[in-house]
Amino acid sequence: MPRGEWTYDVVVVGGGHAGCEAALAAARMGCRTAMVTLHLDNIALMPCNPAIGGVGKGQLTREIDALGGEQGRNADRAFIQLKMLNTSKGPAVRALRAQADKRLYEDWMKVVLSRTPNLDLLQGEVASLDVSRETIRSVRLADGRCVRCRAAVLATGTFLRGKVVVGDRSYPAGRVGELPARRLSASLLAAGIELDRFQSATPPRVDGATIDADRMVVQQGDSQPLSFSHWRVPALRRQVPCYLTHTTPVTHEVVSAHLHLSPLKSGSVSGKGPRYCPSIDRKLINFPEKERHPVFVEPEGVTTREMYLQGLTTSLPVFVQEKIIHATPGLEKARLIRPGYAVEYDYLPPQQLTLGLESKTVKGLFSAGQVNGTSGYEEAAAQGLVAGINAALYAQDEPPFFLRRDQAYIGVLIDDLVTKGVDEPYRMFTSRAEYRLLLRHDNAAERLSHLGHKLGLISAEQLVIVEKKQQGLAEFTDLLDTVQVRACEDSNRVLEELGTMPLEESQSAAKLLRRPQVTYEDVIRLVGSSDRERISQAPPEVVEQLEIQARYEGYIRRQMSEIRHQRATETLGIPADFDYWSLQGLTYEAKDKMSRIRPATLGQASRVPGVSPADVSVLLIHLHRSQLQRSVEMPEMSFE
Amino acid sequence: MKCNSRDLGTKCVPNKDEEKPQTKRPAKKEPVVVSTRSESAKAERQRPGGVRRPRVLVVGGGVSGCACAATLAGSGVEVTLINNALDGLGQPGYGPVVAVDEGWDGLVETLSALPPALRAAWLDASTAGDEESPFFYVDRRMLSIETKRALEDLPGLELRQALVTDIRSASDLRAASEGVSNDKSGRIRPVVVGTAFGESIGAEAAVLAVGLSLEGEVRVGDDVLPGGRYGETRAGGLREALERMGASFQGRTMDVGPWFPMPCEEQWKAACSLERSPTGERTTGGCDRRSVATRPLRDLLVALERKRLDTPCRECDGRREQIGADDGDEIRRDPEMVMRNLGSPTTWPDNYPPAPHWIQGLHVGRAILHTSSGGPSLALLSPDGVATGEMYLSEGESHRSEEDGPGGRCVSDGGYEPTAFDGSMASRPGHRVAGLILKTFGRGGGLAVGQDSSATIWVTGRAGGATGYLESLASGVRVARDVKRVLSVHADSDGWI
Ligand SMILES: Cc1cc2nc3c(=O)[nH]c(=O)nc-3n(C[C@@H](O)[C@H](O)[C@H](O)COP(=O)(O)OP(=O)(O)OC[C@H]3O[C@@H](n4cnc5c(N)ncnc54)[C@H](O)[C@@H]3O)c2cc1C
Ligand SMILES: Cc1cc2nc3c(=O)[nH]c(=O)nc-3n(C[C@H](O)[C@H](O)[C@H](O)COP(=O)(O)OP(=O)(O)OC[C@H]3O[C@@H](n4cnc5c(N)ncnc54)[C@H](O)[C@@H]3O)c2cc1C
Repeated sequence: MPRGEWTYDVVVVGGGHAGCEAALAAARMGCRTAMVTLHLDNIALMPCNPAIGGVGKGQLTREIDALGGEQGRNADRAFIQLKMLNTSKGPAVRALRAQADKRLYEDWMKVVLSRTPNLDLLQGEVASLDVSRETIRSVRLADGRCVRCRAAVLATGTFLRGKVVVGDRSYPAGRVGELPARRLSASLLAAGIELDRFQSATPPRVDGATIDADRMVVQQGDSQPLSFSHWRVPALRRQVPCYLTHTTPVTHEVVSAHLHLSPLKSGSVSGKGPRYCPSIDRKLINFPEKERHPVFVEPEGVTTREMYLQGLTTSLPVFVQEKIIHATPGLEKARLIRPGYAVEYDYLPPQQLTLGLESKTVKGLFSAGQVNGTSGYEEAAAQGLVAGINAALYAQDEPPFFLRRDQAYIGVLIDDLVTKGVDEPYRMFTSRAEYRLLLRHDNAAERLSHLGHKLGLISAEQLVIVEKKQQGLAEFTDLLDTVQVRACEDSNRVLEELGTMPLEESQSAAKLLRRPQVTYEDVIRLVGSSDRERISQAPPEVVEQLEIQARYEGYIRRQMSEIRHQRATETLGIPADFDYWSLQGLTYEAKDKMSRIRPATLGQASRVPGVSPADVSVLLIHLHRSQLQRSVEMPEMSFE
Repeated sequence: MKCNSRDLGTKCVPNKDEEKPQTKRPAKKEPVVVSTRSESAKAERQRPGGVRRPRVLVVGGGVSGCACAATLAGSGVEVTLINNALDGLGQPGYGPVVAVDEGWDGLVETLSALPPALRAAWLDASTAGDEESPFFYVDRRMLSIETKRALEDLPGLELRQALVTDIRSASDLRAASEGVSNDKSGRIRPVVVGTAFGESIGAEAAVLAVGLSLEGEVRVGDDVLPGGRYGETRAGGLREALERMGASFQGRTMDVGPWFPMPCEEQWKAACSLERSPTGERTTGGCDRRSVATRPLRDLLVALERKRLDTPCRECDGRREQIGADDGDEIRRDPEMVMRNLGSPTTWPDNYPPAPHWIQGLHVGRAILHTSSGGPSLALLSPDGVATGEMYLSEGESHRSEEDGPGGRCVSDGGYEPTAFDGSMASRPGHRVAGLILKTFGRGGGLAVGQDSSATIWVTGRAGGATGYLESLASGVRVARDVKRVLSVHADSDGWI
C-alpha cells in the first residue's frame, strides 16, 4: 500500500448529525467506511438548541430509529427532559421532544461510532475530490493523505467557507471556536457543482443561577416512561425543568433602537436566513404588530448551568444582546455567558440531487444535512441516514433506496428538497406532509422497520418486536369488535358522566371507542367483568393506536384511498435522459425546470415549481404512448 | 513564610517567588499604580455602599487559565474567565499523558494548591500505572466537563465565550481619548480587552493564559493551520497589542500525537466491561501488547500515603508529626490529612442520564507496544479517555522532549510511518505546534510592565514558558496568588474589600 493512501468503500465527510448517521448506516450495511471530520472532539455537536424532536422533527427522529439509525437511541441516552407534545390535539401533530445534555449526547455518539465494526474515524480536512469520468474516485485531505473510495457523502454542515458574524464583525469559522473548511468549495465548483450562501444564527446563553425562575412559567417533563427508540425504553430519571417567559414592548424597543446594527441590515451577512427559526430582529421586522414573543429558557445539560434562550436568536452586537436579555421578564439580572452569533456558509442547492441524495453531476457523490440547505439536527440526521444507505448501495452495485411522501416524513423532506429546492434553510413541519394522519409518531416502526431490515439495519429480533406489536394490534382490534357493551344502567351512567349519549341497545366496544369522549380506559370500565381482564391487557403503545384508529378511521381510510388512487401516476417513471425540449405542449417554463431537475417519477414532476397540472397530463399521455412507462421500484407500504 | 497548601496537609513549601524574587520576576516588586485608579477609587468610595471587589480577567481557559481563575475566585477576587470556545474549557489541549516530573510528592503538592473542586476534577479524571512509572493519564474529555462544572459553581467566577483580539491599558485608552468609563459604575478600569465580536471588557488586571496561540501555527503533514491548538480559530491582533506595550517574544515548537483507534475489540471490551474486578484494577492489552495494570490516580496516591503511615519517620524519631498550629512554620506532612483531602471519587447520580466517562471502575490503562522496524523500539499507547475510543501514541518512556514533556512525532517528521501504525490509519495524525511565548514576563508568569509602567497584565502557563500540564497548573495557581497580592496593596487606596 503506498504511503498516505488508503482505500475504503464509503467516505463520509463530516461528523455532525448527518455525518454520524451516514457513517453508521454505511458501516452497518457492511461497507468499509471512513468518517473524516475536522475535529474528533466535536462529534455530533449541537451548536444551537439543546433538544431533539418536537412537532415534525420528532416524527423524523422516530423514522430514523425505525430504519435503524442512531439519533433516537442517542437522545434516549442523553435526555434530561422528555415531553409528548400536543397530547390534546390530533394524533398527526403529536410528537416527542427531548431536552438533551449536549456533552453526553456527543460522548455517547462517539462511543457508538468508535465501537462500530467497519468504521474508522479520521481527523482531517477534506480539501478536494478526485473526479474522473463524472465519478468520484477519492477524497484528498489537506494534510496530504488520500482516501480512495467508491462513494462519498458530503455532510459538511455550516463549515464550507464558514464565517461567524456579530454586528459588523466577522471572522472565518465553521462555528465559534472552530476553523472552517477552507478549500473544499473550490473543488466542488471545479467539479461542476453549484454552491450558494445561507445563513443561520443562534441565541445567547446565560448563567442559570442568575435567572429569576419565579417570574417565569415552569415547564416540567412528562413523568411516564417515554422513548424515541422503539427498541428499549430508558429507565425513569430525574428531569430538569425548562422555563417560559416572553419578550415585552420594552424588549422590542431595545431591538428596534439597534436594528441598524443588525448584520441583516448592515449587509455583513449576504446569505439567506431561516424564516421559520427567525432571529428576534427579523421577528420584529416581520411582525411589527405583535407585542410579545415567547422565550423558552432551556438547560444545556446536567453538568452546566448554561441556559439556552430559545426565541432570542440574534447576531446584534453583544452589548445589545445584553440589553435585550435584561429587558425580558425573569432575565433582568441574567448574565450572558455565550453571545449569540450568526454563521454564513456555502450550501449545495439540492435540486442538483436525486431522490437518493446523489449528485446528478458526480456519480457516487452524495450529500446530506445543512449543506443541502436544511437546518436542524433531525433533518440532518434523516438525510444522513438516507445518503449513507444509498452510498452503501451504490458501493455494492445495488439500486438506490427512496422513501415516498406517503411513507415517511423523510420522503417528504427529500422530495421537497430535490424537487422544489430551497430559498431559505428548510425545516420540517407537519403541514408539509399531505398524508400526516398516516405518518404518525406512533406508527413509524410499522411503516418502516421492514425496510430497515431488508437493508440490514434492523435485526430480526427488532423486527419481532414490531411484528408482535402489530399482532397485538390486530388481536385487540378483533377483540373490541366482538366484545359488546350492554345498554344497562351502570354503563349508561358512565357514558353520561363522560358527556356522551347513553346506549339504547348493546354496542361493540369498537364502536364506542369511536366516540371522541370515550377513551380506552373508559371502555375497560364499560365492558362486562368477563371481558375486562382481557381488554385491559393491551400494552400502552397498542392502546394509543387503537384509539387513533377508532377515532380517525374515516380520515385514515380516505387518505389511504387517495394514495392508492394516485399511486399509478406517482410511481410512473420518467427516463433519466428524457428530452423535455422536444415534447410538444409543455410550457417553456416546465421544459426548462424539468430538464434541470430531472424528476424520477411523474409524481415528482407534478411537484416541480412551475409545472402545471396541464403539463403533467401532457407528460402522462406521452409516457403512456411512447411505451416509456415503467413503474419505478419503490418500497411497499406495510399498512395496506 | 506562610503555608499555602495547608488544606491538603502537606509539608509547607516556601513560595519560590518570595525566596528569590529578583530572578523570578524581572520587574519591580511593587505594583504600578495607574493614575486613574485613585481618582476613580475616590468616586467609588463616595458612593453609598461603594465597596466592591476587584475584577480580574483571565484570558484563555486551558489548564493554567482554569487553575488561575479558580484560585483567584477562591481568594475573593471577582474573575471573568474568557475562552475562545466554552465547550473546550479546561481541556488539556494536547495528549492525555502527564509526566510527573517532580515525583509523586511534587504532584500532591501541586494538587494540594488547587481549589478543592478543581482538585477533585483532576483526581476523578486521572489514571496511573504503578509507583515506578512517572506518568499518569487524564481523561481529557471528563476533565473538561468536570472542570467547567467546578468553575461554574465557584462564587465570583464568571465564564465568557469570546476570542480576545486586543488588550490595552487605561493610559493607552486615554491617549486615544477613549478614556471613558468601561465598567458599569462609571470608573475607568486599568486594563481593557477587546474581542473579535467587538466587545470591550475592563478589569483591574488581566492574566494571559493563551498557550501557544500567539502567532500559533499547527502543521499537520502538508497543511498549516492557524491556532495554538489543533482546529482552533486564532486571534489576530493580540500579539501586536502586546508588542505595543513593550512585550517581547520567543518561539516554541512542540509535537503532539498521533492518535490511533483502540487496537482491537478485546481491548475495548476490557476497557468497557462494566463489572469491576475484585481488586478494582483493570488491564488493557492482549493483542501481543504488553499491558500495564492501572488504577485511579487517587488510589495510587492514597496507597503511597498509607505506606508512609506504616513507615516510621526517621527525622522525627519515629513519631509521625501532626500538623502544627496556625502560626507555625513547621507544618509537616500529615499522611492522614493528605488522604482525607485527596477525597473519595465523585459519583455520578443514579437519576442522571448515564455518562460513559463516569461509569464507575472504568479505568483504562496503557499498553506498551514493540514496533516494527524503522521506529522507536518502544512506543506507548495511552488511552485518551474512556469515551473517545482512541489511543495516544508516544515514544518510549526513555524519550522525553526537552521542552514540553512527552509528545509524539509529527507526521512529516519521518522516523516511523506515522500515519499508519500496526496496520491502522491514525485517527488524529500527529502535528507540530509552533507559537510564541512571552519573554518579558519571565518563566512561569510574572508582572508585566509596559513601557509606561501602567499595565497590570500577567502571563501564566505555556504562554509564560511553563512546560507540561502540571507546571502549567502550578503556574496558574502561583500567578493567581501574585495577582491577589498586588491587588491587595491597592485595596486601601481603591476601597476594595
Ligand atoms: C504541542 C504540545 C504538546 C504537549 N503535550 C503535552 C503532553 O502530552 N503532556 C503534558 O503534560 N504537557 C504537554 N504539553 C505542555 C503543556 O504545557 C501544555 O502546553 C499545557 O496545556 C499548557 O496549558 P495552558 O493553559 O498554558 O495553555 P493551553 O492549554 O494551550 O490553553 C490555552 C487556552 O486559551 C485559549 N485561547 C488562546 N488564545 C485565546 C484568545 N485570544 N482568546 C480567548 N481564548 C484564547 C485557547 O482556546 C485555550 O483554551 C504540550 C504542549 C504542546 C505545545
Ligand atoms: C450558529 C448556528 C445556528 C444554528 N441555528 C439553528 C437553528 O436556528 N435552528 C436549527 O434547527 N438549526 C440550527 N443550526 C443548525 C444545526 O446545528 C444544524 O442543522 C445541524 O447541526 C446540521 O448538522 P450537519 O450534520 O449537517 O452539520 P454540522 O453539525 O455542521 O457538522 C458538519 C461536520 O462536518 C465537518 N466538516 C465540514 N467540512 C469538512 C471538511 N472539508 N473535511 C472534514 N470535515 C468537515 C465538521 O467538522 C462537522 O463535524 C445552527 C447551527 C449553527 C452553527
